[in-house]
Amino acid sequence: MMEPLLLIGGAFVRLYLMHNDFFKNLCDGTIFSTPVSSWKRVTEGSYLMGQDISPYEGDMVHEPPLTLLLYNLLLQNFAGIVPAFFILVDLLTAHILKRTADKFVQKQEKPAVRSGAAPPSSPSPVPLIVTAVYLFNPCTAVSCAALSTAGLHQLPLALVFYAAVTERWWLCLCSLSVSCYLDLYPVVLLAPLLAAVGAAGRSRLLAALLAAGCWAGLLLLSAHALGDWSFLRSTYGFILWTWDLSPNVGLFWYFFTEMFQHFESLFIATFQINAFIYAVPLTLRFRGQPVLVMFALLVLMVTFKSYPSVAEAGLYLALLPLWRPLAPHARYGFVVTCFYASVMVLAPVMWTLWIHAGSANANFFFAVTLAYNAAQIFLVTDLLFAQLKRDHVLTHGTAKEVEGKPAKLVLC
Amino acid sequence: MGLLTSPTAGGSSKKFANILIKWEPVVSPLLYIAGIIWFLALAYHPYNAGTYFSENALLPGLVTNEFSDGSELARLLKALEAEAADHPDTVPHPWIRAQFRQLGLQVYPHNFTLRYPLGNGSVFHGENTYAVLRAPRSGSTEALVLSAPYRRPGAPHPPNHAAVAMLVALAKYFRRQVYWAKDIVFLVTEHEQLGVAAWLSAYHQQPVGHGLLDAGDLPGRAGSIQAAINLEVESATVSHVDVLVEGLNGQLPNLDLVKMAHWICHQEHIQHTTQGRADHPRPHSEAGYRHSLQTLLHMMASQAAGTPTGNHGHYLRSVAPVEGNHGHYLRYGIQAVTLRALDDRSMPGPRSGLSHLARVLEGMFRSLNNLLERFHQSFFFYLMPATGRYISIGLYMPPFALVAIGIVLRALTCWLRLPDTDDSEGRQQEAEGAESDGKKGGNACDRPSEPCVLPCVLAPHALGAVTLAGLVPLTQLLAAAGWPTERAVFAGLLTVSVGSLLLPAITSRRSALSESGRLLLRCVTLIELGLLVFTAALFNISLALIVTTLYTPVALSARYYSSAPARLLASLCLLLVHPFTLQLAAVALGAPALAWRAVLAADQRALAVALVDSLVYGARLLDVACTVLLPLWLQMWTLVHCG
Repeated sequence: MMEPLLLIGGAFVRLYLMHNDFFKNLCDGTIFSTPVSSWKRVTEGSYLMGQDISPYEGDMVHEPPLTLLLYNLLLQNFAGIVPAFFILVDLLTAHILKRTADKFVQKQEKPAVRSGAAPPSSPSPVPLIVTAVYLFNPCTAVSCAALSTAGLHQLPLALVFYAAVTERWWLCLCSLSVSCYLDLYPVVLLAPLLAAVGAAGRSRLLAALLAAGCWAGLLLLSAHALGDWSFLRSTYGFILWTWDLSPNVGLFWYFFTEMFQHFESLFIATFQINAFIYAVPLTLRFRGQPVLVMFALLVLMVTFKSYPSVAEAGLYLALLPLWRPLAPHARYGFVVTCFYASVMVLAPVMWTLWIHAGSANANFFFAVTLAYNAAQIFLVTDLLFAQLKRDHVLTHGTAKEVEGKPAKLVLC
Repeated sequence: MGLLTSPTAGGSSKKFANILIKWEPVVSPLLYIAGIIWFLALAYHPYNAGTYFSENALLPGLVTNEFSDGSELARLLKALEAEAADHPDTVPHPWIRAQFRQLGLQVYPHNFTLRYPLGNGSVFHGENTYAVLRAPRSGSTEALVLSAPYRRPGAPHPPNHAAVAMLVALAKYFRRQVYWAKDIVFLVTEHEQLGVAAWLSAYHQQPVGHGLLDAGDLPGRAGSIQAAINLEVESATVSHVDVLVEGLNGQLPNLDLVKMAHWICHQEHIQHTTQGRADHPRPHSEAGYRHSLQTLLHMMASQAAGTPTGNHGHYLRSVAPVEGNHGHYLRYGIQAVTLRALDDRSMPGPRSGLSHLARVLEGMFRSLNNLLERFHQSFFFYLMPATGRYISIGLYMPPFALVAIGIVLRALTCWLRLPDTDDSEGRQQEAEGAESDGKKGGNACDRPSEPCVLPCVLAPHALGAVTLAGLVPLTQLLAAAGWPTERAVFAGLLTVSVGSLLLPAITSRRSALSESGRLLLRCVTLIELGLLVFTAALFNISLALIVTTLYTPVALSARYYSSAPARLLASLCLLLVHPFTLQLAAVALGAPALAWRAVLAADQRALAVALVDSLVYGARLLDVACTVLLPLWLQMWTLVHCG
């Protein structure tokens, strides 16, 4: 009953933001749309296609070909419904997240119900909170109003989570390859998924082949649609080599504007490796919890990718309520919440002061993005450590005494 | 990452929390007082810094200023005054344009329209004139602006004919010089700020005012504007030049430009002031300290208002209101000041003539002409206790942080005192059923249940947003019933302010707050207040400091008191810092001699002006007061009254 209300509310918020001058100005900022997710660039690509020029010839368009074709179709035939399309995609993502949370909470509660420890209480509020957080998070709402294509990228990612929770491995791997096709980075999610597939008694090799095959199929289809492979350079090359250093909420731009040319490739590799390197160790450490590992990797991916936007933060923030059982074990809840709150206020403020008023400078904005990324790292380490503590408590009980003195579990 | 069970680690962090909880109520007020004393001390000469030129390209005052055509200036002034007397109801644009055209400048008109949104709604038309002197030495890529508002006889402001005459005379002189590397735009505006805002909006093709201000397009443009000087000359003899700096939303021009304005006045031996106040001869003395402290407070009062009128300090001196048209340039990243030349009888010292003032402007433009890049060095965030002294952001932020830190510390202790952040109960229960994963779900009630606090936070914010959005329709509705706009705005805000006092009764009836719920609400309120003041400090330190000074004590003491007198006292303190009361107090302070009826009328006018500023110019004071400060206040009110 509540969910339709929330969905309608979310749609209204987005419609309002789309028609508000203040937010329109705000949306011009790169906080909400990066070079890879900017709608302006998509319209440019669509125009170039209309002129029979390959959109990937210049340095303007970085959208993958198939979605570019989809947007082109929309722009050519139904330009009026583009905002509605974006709102619908967001609502769909929110709905999928709710279904994910439903199933996840159900699974969590099942052992308790079976053992008779907890009476079947009223339905958990978590799924509705998940939906509400996704729909009313300013990050996602304003990104949607800015027609950032990152909103569309969240749809297959949400599907991956849904399918992983409901153990529909086919759907999971296919949507993962769609997600990789759009953005490249979600490939890190393959590690926990393969572990989960193995744990479910299926063949890991087959699963990997399926994902790779699906991804290759999408690439082949793109090449077929365009007639050549030039798009690889403008999409994946652009993401990996990080040619565009216009400011965003990530860690790359400030560092690489300061970087000497001949060190660039070394440090690009060093920075990029961060987005991928944690996949295997985390999968090995948290074997039984593929969804938790996927969540952690999602946060790390948003932190370390080359062109992050806050729309991507919206997805993991929405899924955060799923880890409510870990809350009593978390240490930095207050600090992280304060960080997020201040960053959400200060980022647009610093942007305005730097770009519009001209009285601040890049350091002000960079300081905020640094705080934002620190908050993300705090969040993920705190969460993972809370899980470890919880496992420890579940097996060893709460009595923590070392040599007769009270002790506390700390991260080291 | 691994697990370590350390016998000592647990104790120390808990000890720290306990120390914080124990000492915070003592430390916060001490820090608050220390911060205020530190800040007030900054006005003392040795504790602030002397202004300096950071931008070496300016090369100020290295040339001899040569303007000497005083007779031409006098002739132009006389002609313009005659023209103004002939056409008291219009701006003598034909005369002004003819003068510029005769000099061979490119002259353009600019028309704009304002659809006044309040009350019955009416339409204002206005016209600006601007003339462009093309730089002989470059290709119109950069420009400087010299503007002057034209004031009709009978306007509330003193006439500004001398400034317009000065524009023409300077144009004539500048025209003959060969060294200009930047275009110079001479701009005569109508309707004070509105004309400048419309011209800049048209120049940059950047709509302002939510579609209410139709700025149209400009027939001709110069390059990108690097700096602007707005000129107001009240009389033909000048006792001193006041340099106005405060812009829209408290934005300030680059300190290099301000320093340059003061420096060249100093070189030309014209007395120059800031906030209408000259420097004290002995700044180290006690009287000198008190003098610069007053200057500082005047600047803070006018910056805090957030409007470019800079009139607060001048209300105090009961002089006519001043319009600082430079304030709108700052929005576009154009550094600008207003030079206001006055003949104040109370000001000692020799008087100067208009040609003297013209040489000051010549010096400033020749200096600006040397600029190689936009103003970017020196300071954009500062406060000035004297014409040649400044308190930079690095100096005023630490005392400000001390004043505000109590809010953050109290939020932290509130959080630490919440029952569940302590790691005892939750886990114990969980450990009992060793494998019962799901039990946590049932445990949720242990935590201060967020849903109970949510309405106490959301309802005030919704009320604030509705208030702000409802003001314009309200004036339109009441205008139909014959109410003037000013009274309608006042009545609307008063109704909301008084009516919202009942909010705690409504929200607490729906869901009673538990002890931990109250703590959580306190924590949320304090965090939001902290965010507000620290963010405001970046835009407008004066406003932030005033709000913080007033709100920190009440925010720290906002909780439920079981004894009725204490509760009454807390309510009274809260009512004293209600945004509505503060607005009234600010107006009353500005006009100390007025009777209460007149203060009320002035307050009504000020509120209506604030609404128009917000709608047309984008001044954010009213918006923030309605959507953030009022809800915060209501949350504190709830805290005091929810038992």
